Amino acid sequence: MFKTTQTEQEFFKGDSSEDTIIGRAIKIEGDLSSDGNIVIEGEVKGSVKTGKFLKVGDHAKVTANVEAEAAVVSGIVEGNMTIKGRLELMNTARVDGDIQASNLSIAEGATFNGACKMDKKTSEVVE
Amino acid sequence: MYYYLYDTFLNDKRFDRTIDKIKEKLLELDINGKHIRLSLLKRIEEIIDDETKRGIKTLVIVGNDSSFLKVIDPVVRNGLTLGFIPVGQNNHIAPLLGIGENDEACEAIAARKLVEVDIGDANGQFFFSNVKMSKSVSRLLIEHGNFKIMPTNNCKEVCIYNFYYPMKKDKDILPELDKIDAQDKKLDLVAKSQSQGRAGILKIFSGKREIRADTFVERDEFMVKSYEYLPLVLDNYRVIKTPAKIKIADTKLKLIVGKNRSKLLK
Repeated sequence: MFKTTQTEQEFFKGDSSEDTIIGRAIKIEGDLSSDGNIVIEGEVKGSVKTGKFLKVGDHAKVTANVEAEAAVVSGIVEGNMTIKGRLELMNTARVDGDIQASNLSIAEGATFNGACKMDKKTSEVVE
Repeated sequence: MYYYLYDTFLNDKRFDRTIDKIKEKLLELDINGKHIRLSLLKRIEEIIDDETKRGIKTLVIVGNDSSFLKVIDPVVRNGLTLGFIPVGQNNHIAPLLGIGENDEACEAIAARKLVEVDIGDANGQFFFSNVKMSKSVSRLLIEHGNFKIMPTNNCKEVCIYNFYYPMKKDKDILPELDKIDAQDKKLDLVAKSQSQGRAGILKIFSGKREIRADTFVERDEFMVKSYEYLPLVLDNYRVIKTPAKIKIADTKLKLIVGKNRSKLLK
């Protein structure tokens, strides 16, 4: 139900027994950290940290600084994003904050307001 | 010695033949013991406490899911080993324990394959499956460590699971529910919301809006608070009130299981 992009599929392939899913039934305030994947479809304020994959869904609103191994954003993120690997901003995404990522993909229609810093060693120029 | 406890609904005559067959099979397998039928006059906790003082070590509950869940608290408090012989309808737990009906259940008791499973502790009361909150859930505040979980107006129910067993009425459940492991020393919070439903004329014919699980948070303990006293239902029968500290108990439940048990019970 949540698997759409290649980045997501790669992370959901493995053992995801400790996935955290924040749906529209709840709001979270504080420091949310997890050893597993995090899927946010609701509202989170504070900070979000995972050593694995993060998905911010279409209807999600994240007002937090975010750290993850990889991320796909379709909703709203207000805060800085530090992603070790690949970050994908889908066409419905809105990010207000600075981004640091090794690999970045921004779809047409996505909104991004902030600075962007990429690791020279792993970044690639696609023509 | 084994102590067999028959739930009150088995006093109905239509179960007489089944009960007789079970007793014959237990005799044949040489695991006979004391057989007691529960009545409405004496509390199940008192019976188990009294019999523990007399020296029983293994209690076998005969009945359905409700019967099984009702004995959990006194069984864990008294450090007994628990067996289960499912009879009648509403038996969703037994198949997950690998326990069949009648003769198969008796054979599982005789084989005595034991597993130790986690037990939930809500304000000092033990539960096996879940703590359910379905009244005024938007007024609840659930804390864990550095973050707070606040159910929204869209939230219809919050459940904290130790052991999950699917009921027939459960629809559109998260696949994550099947991963709830009663041996991982963790509890799983699941919040359920009401779907938006169908629009226009379809809404009239589609009947009730569906309740579906959309949140899954796994942690070792949760603190449930509210500004007023709100009820929390333990294992679908016992009610406690907020505030409540819900955690994995220090002690474990020794459970007799069958060969074809859930993969999650090792």
